[in-house]
Amino acid sequence: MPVILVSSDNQDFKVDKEVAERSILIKNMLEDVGESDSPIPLPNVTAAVLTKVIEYCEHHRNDPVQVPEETDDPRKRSNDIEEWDMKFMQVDQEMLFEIILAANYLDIKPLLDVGCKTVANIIKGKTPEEIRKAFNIVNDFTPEEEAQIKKENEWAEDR
Amino acid sequence: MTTRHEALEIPEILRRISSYLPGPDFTSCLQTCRSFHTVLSPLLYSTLTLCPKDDKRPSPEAVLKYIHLIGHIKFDFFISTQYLRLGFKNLHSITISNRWAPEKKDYQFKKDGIDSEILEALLLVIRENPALRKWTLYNPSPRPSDKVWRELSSLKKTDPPAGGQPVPLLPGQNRGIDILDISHISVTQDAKLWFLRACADARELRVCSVSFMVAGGKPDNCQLFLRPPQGRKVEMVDVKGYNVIEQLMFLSHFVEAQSITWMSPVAGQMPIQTLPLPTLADLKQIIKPTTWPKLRALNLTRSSGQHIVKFSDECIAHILDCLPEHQLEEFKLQGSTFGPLGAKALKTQLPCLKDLRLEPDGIDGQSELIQEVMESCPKLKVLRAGMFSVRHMRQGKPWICHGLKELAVHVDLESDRDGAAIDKKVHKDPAYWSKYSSSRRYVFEKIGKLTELVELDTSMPINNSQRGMSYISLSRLYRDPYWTLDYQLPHGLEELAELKKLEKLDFSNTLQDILQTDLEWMLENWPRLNMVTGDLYWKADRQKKLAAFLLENGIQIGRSRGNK
Repeated sequence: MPVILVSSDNQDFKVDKEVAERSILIKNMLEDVGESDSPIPLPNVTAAVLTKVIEYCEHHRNDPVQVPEETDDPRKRSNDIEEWDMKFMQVDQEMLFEIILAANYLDIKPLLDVGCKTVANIIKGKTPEEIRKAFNIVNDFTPEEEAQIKKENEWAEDR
Repeated sequence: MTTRHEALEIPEILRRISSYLPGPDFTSCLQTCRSFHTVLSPLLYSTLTLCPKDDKRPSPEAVLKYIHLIGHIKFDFFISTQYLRLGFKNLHSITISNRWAPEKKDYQFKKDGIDSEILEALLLVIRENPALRKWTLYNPSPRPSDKVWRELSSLKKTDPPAGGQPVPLLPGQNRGIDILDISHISVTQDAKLWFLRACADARELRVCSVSFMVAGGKPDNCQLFLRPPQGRKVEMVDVKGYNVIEQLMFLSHFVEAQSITWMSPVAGQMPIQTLPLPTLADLKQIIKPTTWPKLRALNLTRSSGQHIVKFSDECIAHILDCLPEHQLEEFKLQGSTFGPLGAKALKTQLPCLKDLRLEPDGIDGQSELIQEVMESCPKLKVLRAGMFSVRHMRQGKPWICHGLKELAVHVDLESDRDGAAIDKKVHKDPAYWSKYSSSRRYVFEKIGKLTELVELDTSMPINNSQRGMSYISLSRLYRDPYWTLDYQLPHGLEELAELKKLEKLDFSNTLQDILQTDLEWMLENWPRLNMVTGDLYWKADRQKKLAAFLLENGIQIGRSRGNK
């Protein structure tokens, strides 16, 4: 049975239930309302972003449910992105962050992970100044503060 | 975009991004702006490791600045009064470990301050951190004093009442440490009593390779409890200088225990001081039907080395008989005998069993039980035991353990051929295959239906249990009557094609004649296969070629547990 999702700009998207349920938020909503064909409003997601998110969910509709990994090491690898996902994530930065926000809101953990890994890959190898430039971040430290923070965290660099 | 994207304002997202960043990139991120610094600092400081290298640990000033963030402090090959005295207030966990690992090869233990100062500073940390829940020690230096153990026990505020009658624990009362994990230390005579009390107060207890120092003569009796022991999960492995009967008595006081692991001291290392060994009569005194009413897991598995206590079949049966029926989920027994009496006692526990690991005993001595387990344990995940005869499989009911993930039994294919002698060269004779193929197909078809299997181990166990019968030495002498899975594996592959989750295959100590085409079949049909253990072929040069082929395809060659 298909489900109708409504974007913030009032566009309807008809998707298979199985695809929509990649989103834990939608899955829980469907479970709560039971059998119902009323459309599901997603006030935080625009049509452009929802199109991308649905494309991802369609492609991954048959993936097994991810089991959260319990590892001692909090550092994870970001170079294990699947080829299809890599291509899927070749979008401008605005869209990349919009997809991350939507994945966070809709609770689609694998998509959130792929998005965050993509951002991490942009950050890798950059100096703080280059990171600021890449993401329009304003440096609000005083020069003294910045020097101090750099110094006190030097030990962590080759963790 | 003129300002940064709102996604970066959400701490959860920023933390997730940063979890994919290696050290230098993480610190670069931390330095970009105030809000990043606020969100990311806790990741750096919530669990803080202090190591002996000055440039790889934060300075005391930096620790002081972030001290409110630090919940878990780890001293790794390093201990320092200066750091201990910084005024930690929010610690929930302390680790002091001098555990060697390859990545620490250039570490050298460094101690700042004299022992008495360090111990005083430690005491202060314990006192000033009321939220402290977990205490992990691995070969620490200096050795914790009796005062430290006393501070960790629930009675730190008051002295023990005279007479030693257990006092019930009132809700909200100071409970001592919840989780104690102690390995590779020695405990002085003075500290022993407080050490054991701290142990008894922990809800989770792991004590491994602890030596009680014995001041001349016999170790004393330490059964004096001031409160009922609290442990839910209790592990006591290789404790020396403490009479083994008293160790078991100590364990028998843990009425709340849901999981108990006990291994006797390893022989051949001083000081032992653990004799005499417990007899059945001792065990009957110590373990009674009321001893462990909540127990769900019992692990009496040896690790490595020769543990000095091996329980007899009668002893194991007694222990099992004392457990409430239909409750046990995990039972692991290696290094002791598991014979017919144990098997009979275990039968009252089958409905809940999830994990069963038994010391192989005699030729197909456990076979009937294995069949019974397979047909009556719906929740079974792991089964490791001795020989499984096709005879018992045929006589039994269908298997219901559809969730089985690990199966390690040595299937005895030949047991229903009524002892007819087989010519050693017969495996080259096609007539042999037609004669025994039905039995092989039967077994492989049954195993092939266990589609959740991740590990299949049909190796021949090396058995040095009390019965003294080693399958290996036996099979050398009388190979013929006990020809089991030899040469059979490649011929049974088709029946195993549905084991799509299989990752590990082990056929150590059986003779096989595997071709490269068989290996190609495995790669194609078992997509998750990552390790193969056992001799692929008896000739070294071909074995080498086949092994190289597996390695090329990303499959590891496991270390055979054979005696080569």
